[in-house]
Amino acid sequence: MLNTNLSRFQRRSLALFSASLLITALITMFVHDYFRHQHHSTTGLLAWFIALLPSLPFLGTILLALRYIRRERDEFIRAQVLLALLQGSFITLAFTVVYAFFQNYLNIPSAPAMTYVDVFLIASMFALSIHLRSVR
Amino acid sequence: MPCYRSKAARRYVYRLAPTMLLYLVFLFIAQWTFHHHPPTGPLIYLLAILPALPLIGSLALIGLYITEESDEFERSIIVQSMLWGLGGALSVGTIWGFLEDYAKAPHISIFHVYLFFWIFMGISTPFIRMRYR
Repeated sequence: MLNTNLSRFQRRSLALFSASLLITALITMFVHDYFRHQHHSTTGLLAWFIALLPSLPFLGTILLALRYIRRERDEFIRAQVLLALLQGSFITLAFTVVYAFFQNYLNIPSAPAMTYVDVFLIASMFALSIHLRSVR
Repeated sequence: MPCYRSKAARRYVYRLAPTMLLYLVFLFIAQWTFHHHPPTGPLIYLLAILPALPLIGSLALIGLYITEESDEFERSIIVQSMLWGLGGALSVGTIWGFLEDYAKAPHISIFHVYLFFWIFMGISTPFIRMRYR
């Protein structure tokens, strides 16, 4: 459900955050498509540069999140977002550690790029919605 | 890393030391068993996850430190450091993941995300402190 009681700053941050995630997804699809074609080289400087492209908007997303936390005036909302981000990071790091040992000892396949980013975003989102629902 | 002055920070260090020792012991048990007496059945999963438990515990300990720390300023520093640590770890992980997937960069274990988290957290802490001076 979309919350309509957002401040102008919160609405703008949410829009920027969504846009950067959308750009990440679009560039990822482009890069995936680019390397799928046989005649495109997967070595050399250009290949490294193109492979780096999807991570750039994601770096922007991180900076946006940090900027939001720094500028949010509502202390309560900031505390809830911070708590959700911390819980999301605990879950993500626990996931990476468990996955790494499973990979090491059970020879399971490597996780695709950005798996842990997805885990982080989903875990933080769930944590935030649970916090906000519990204080209503 | 937490400042060692407060009681909560001292408690954090006293709790972290045995947890890391436990990690080494569990890692040795898992490595030795997989090499000398490869387990079968559900025991494989149990042994594979064994060394991860103290590392997950170390994350819980930092969470405990944040809740126990009475100094608001110290708490804010550690929370900001953790966010920078996570941001740095996810950034490096993402960049390398794409390079690995598409540009044939050498494979590095997902475990490095955990290591990068602590490295970036350690690097960012003095810079965050400096901002408040």
